[in-house]
Amino acid sequence: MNPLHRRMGRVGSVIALIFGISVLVFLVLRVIPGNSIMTSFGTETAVLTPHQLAALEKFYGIHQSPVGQYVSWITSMMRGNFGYSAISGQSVLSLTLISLPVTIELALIATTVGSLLGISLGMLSASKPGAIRDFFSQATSILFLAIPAFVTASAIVVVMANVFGYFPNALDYAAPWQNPWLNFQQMMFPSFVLALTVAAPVMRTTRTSLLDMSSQDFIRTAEGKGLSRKRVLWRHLLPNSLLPVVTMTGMQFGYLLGGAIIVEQIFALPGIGRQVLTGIMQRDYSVVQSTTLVIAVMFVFVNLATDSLYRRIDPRIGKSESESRTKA
Amino acid sequence: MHSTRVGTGSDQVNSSPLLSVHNLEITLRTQKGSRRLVQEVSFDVAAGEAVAIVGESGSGKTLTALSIMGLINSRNLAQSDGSIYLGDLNLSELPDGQFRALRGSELAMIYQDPMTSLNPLMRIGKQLTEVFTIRGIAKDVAIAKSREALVGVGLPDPDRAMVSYPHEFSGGMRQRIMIALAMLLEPKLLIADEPTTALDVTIQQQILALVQVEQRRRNMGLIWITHDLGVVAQLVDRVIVMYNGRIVEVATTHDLFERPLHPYTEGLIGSIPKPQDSARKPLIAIPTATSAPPTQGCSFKPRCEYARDICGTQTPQLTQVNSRQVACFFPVQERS
Amino acid sequence: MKTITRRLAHGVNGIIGLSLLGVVLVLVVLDVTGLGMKDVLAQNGALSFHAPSSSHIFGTDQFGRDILSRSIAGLVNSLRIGLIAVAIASIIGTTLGILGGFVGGILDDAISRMSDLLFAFPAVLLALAIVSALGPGSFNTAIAIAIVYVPIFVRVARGPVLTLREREFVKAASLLGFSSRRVMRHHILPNLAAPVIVQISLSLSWAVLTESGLSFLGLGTQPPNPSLGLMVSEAQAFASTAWWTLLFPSIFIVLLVVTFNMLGDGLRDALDPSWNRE
Repeated sequence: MNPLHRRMGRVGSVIALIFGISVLVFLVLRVIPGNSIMTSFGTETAVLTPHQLAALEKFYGIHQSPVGQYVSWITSMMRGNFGYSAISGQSVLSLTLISLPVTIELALIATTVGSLLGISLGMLSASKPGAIRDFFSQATSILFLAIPAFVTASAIVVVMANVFGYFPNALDYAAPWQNPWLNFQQMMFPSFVLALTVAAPVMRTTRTSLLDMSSQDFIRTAEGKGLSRKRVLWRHLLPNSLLPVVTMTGMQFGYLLGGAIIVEQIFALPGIGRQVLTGIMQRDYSVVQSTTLVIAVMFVFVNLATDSLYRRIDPRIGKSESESRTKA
Repeated sequence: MHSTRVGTGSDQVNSSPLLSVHNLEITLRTQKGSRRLVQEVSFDVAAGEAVAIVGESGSGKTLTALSIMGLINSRNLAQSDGSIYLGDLNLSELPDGQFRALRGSELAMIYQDPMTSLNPLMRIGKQLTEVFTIRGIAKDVAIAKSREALVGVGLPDPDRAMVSYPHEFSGGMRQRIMIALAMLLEPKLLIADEPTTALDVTIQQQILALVQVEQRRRNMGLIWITHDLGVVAQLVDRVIVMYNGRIVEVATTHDLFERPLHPYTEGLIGSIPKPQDSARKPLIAIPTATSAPPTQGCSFKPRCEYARDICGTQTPQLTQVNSRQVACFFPVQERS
Repeated sequence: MKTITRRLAHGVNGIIGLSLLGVVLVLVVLDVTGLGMKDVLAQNGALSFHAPSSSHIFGTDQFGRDILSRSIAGLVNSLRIGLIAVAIASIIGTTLGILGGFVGGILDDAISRMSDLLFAFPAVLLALAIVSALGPGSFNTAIAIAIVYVPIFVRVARGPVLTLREREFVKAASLLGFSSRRVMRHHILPNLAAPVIVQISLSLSWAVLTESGLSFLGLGTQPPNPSLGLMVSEAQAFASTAWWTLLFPSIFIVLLVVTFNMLGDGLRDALDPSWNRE
């Protein structure tokens, strides 16, 4: 199978996956409360203009069989019709275009900070396995894992807002290009909370990886060459150990895109998770349906990108199977 | 200061030997207590001499080698007694930094598994030139010398090899690269820890021949560690046999094969199938040892067919017998 | 079996996990028997927002209810939901995984594809979507979490089955004429037990985390029934003055999560034969 075929195969399975996801979302949201959408259609759509109403009907594929409804939905999405919010009348596409960047910024900061923290703790822990610092690092990582994000977030809100009277998130959200300082202040607490949830698994992976790698032969070879401890660590041990961490970090980032819902809610960040949640609370099904699909598709793409990145970094992953091995 | 030396390949009486290991002891600390993995190990290697250390897994041969290189990193494993001298330099008391300077330049080691001995993420050229650049040698000089070394070990297309990654090479090729790497700074002593065990028989011969050529050319001391006697018969001048952490016999290759003194050695040599043996002759198998060395008595006793009571109560010491050494109360007599 | 329990009890993770499990079990017993528990639902305005005292060790909430008793009841509630969810997920997932791995072919493809599909969602989002479709409540939360965790059991069960199927001793057994079912029972299942058990414990800790998150959002156990996540959510409004309303339910959530996490790690250390300590 030549590289082109393989790439096409990969693209094909991704497309199949996305379609599968859309079917799943459709089934979960429509088949069960399907009737309620139809029955509420007349009463809850007062906000919409006639044009929007028509577009929404097309989105839902009203009066069609379930399969027809699914097809209508998919074709509408592909044409850019993500539906309209029955509550506010805004198009879901425009809502998403505003909310997605917020979550991306949050996820980026949280993942970066969390990974750095996790890697540092992992390195600290692995430097003297079994010692006190190892014990404390691991205990810390378990706490990060076990204390739910919403607990940490609530605690911060209580302390900051009520005790210190400092709560930047009470103000309207400021995008980084509007007001960088305010944006930073609004992002710092939620991204800190999320960074903790990222740090825990990253720390574990780093620690395990480092310990496994240390006993590998090539480390002995490196030392046998007369390299200093520092050089062995930074040039040989760390690069090899961090490979699995790259994958883990990518996964965490993808997860945060859809998993930051609760934190976004607590800190009133208008991200895509909050969009879904609000949609659910308000029974705004078109919002929920489209947004969920968008999040899931993004998750798939992030995983793909992480995979690609990993292939780039690790020279062992066959770029081309045609690369011949020189025989002895 | 140094142990009595058994006849070395070259008769150097005045200067100190290249390597002198004296009463080496390595202890492992576990939750259940301490265990001596290597004890009372003493031997010398002269400049230009090739010596084999033979033993099965668990005999302590690799640990001894790592001790010489100073590469025992574990918290629970450490040299607990004895000293190792490189020329007049006491390695055991050398500070880390100075010891490190010796590695690669005076002492070098190659390992058993070529598949895992090289950094998979670094190009071969970089791994070679690194040896030079950390010592302040200019990059272009480093590159030239590395390339030359690859040519020297018979790698086709050395320019391509320099920019390739380890996984692009087969086991035999990687081992050649390891040899080139070890030879870069022309060390005085090379330790080869079972470098051919993981390779095909035909490749084994090639690697062996390569190491022999290099050793002779540079008049380098060589310690070849193996569990397979047959492999090294042609390569080394002297053989040191280890069992369960101790040296049990030392002799020249010729003497050892002609008349092994220690029952263990006898078993080892006897178990090598020879082409002229009848096909029906049973393969002699030596049952493996699994227990820690006893506090007193010979550890080989459970497997020894000549054992008597004293073997269980007193530990045999390595004693001189003519130009050889053996640690046994009842060394094997002349075979009928 | 005995060696496993011994190794479990000797590893650090195992020790902590088992001790905490002991604490959890004591609390469960308290709730079940009603020993020392005050009425969880009765409201008494006069008692509201009492700080921790000898009569109310964890203090009282906005309705005068004893927080200790509510927390214990909430803990049992979360545990129950988690257990139901993980039981369903593990039974369905393991069965599917074994079937897929053993039978192979189209069935295996279909099962793998479906589980990949479920994996393509961030867990919280999927659980949220399912609960929103089914409606809030304890049982629906358990169902939602169960669905989210089926794929991981499929994966955990399928892997060993695939490797084992190719191993000599299994092939030998088949060649000797043992029925597939017997091969499965005697050779494959015992080797599966370890990873599945470990996963059960770990999934339980995640299930509790997810359940409390959903309850926090109001989609889980409904008031006035006690639920740890819900208690934390309600406490947000009062915690600046009544810190105990936030602290104690949070501690119980952490207790549950840490217990099953450490237990899972300890089990993994004890059951994995290749895990050697230096």
